Amino acid sequence: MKETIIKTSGLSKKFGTRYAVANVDLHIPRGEIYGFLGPNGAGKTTTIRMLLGLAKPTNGTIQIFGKDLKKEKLEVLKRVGSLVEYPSYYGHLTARENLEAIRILLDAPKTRIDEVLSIVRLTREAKRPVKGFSLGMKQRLGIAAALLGNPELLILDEPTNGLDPSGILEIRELIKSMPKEHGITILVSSHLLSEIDLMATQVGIISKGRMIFQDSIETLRRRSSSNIVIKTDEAEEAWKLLLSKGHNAELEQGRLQLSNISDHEISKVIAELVESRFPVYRVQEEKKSLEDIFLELTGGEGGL
Amino acid sequence: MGKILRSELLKLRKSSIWLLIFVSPALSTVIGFAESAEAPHEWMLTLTYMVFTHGLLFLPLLTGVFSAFVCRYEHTGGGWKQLLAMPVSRGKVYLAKLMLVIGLLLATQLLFAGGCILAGLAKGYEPSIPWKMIGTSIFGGLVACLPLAALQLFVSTAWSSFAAPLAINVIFTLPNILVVNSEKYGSYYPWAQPFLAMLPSAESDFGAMNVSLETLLFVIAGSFLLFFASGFTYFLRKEV
Repeated sequence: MKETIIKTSGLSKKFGTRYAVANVDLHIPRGEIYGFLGPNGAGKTTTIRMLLGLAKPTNGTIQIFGKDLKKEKLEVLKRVGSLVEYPSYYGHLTARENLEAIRILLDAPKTRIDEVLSIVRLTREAKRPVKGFSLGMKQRLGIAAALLGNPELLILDEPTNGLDPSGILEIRELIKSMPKEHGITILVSSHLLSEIDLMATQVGIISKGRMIFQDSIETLRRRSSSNIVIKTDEAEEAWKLLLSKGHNAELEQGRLQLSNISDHEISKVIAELVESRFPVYRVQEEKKSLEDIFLELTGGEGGL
Repeated sequence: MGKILRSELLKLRKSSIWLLIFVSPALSTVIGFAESAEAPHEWMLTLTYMVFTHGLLFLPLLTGVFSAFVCRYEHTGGGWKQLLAMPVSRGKVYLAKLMLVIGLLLATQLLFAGGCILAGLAKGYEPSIPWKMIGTSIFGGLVACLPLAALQLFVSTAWSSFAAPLAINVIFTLPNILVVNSEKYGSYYPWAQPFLAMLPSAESDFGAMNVSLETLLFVIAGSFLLFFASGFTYFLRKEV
């Protein structure tokens, strides 16, 4: 059993009468890339703000590195790097000065600034005021700032927002490499399933403030079981035949559907249909995509 | 605390706001030159002329501008959430911001004193510079600004708008022109205190200050404590 880095229990946040986050139990083991997934407004950022001590939970507890965040906030934050929502920057300072202002607070060595600048490939832009940066460059600067203190835990809220495709790829590779090279644990949030699918090892799905799925990405993928769909005439008659022969078939939109079925059984089904003179037009496999599962889990709401 | 102050100074130094510390002292010095003052109270008269615009208007206004400014670069770039997710205590961040404002005010006051001495020497006043009178005036003015600084910092941390805290400040500062003339209310109005504290008096009522001990304790210290405590507790609980 791996050490748990983040553990929340019953974490809730109420705004007025509405719960933005309700009873969320996060569990993130060391060295994992935890993809925190949910539609816009599901409560991802609110949860992350609570994890960083920026907002106070209405209910519930947060433990990071086994320490109570409420009691040992500064001790915990020393070991955490973060990027929340849109990137933070001081427009009147250059990229280097921005990092310097943070470096002083973290007591990191000066050489670390050059290191993180080269990690996010901003070395050449380091002397320019940040107000002239594109959103993507600001985002990369934000990631550099998060890495500055050599954190053990990295919390990145929508880190690929505003990046162009090559920037997204770069950041994704960077995120994927970090647990391997430095043993860092990463919590990365996104409203894009495809993003999470490409980098996460663990997934938590939040919808309307509630956690509706939390497990490894493999478990999520395993739910994308395949269906065999058969197209035939007089589908209802054919369906009744299959049921009478003891097959677990379903009738959907004039097509026969068989789920989780072995090759051997499917050949029997087809033989029986043909013997009873049902014309079989088409036999096809339909795999549920992660997208479908996600929509199913979130009840179909939310733009992906 | 030292780390936070150094980081804040870096952010401040690169902004241009600190140039504002020159404006009011320069203007006052010009007034000091222009107005004629005669012996034996020539120093006192010049200082008084200079204090009129500076203490009555500019100093309270600058207090608001400085407070709003040390918060502005945090509001505009989303700096608060980055700063407060660092291993720094919120209380110390708030104190550091207040110290920056006080530092800027102190610089303004020192320049003002320099301007006064410059004007006096240039006009050939008696060579012994009245250090005590000038010192009392500028440090009294600084102390009298503390409640305003505390209030303005409170408002500036609470509102992400740059203009709103300034508007509040202007609304409270403009009545100064009337309030200071009132025997009854003048000494109880926080925004009037910088002027009253800076105005030199021939017969000093109370030791080192140009205001009575009573106003010092009740009005200045009282309002400072009230504004500072509210701003401080608000900031500790603020959701970013």
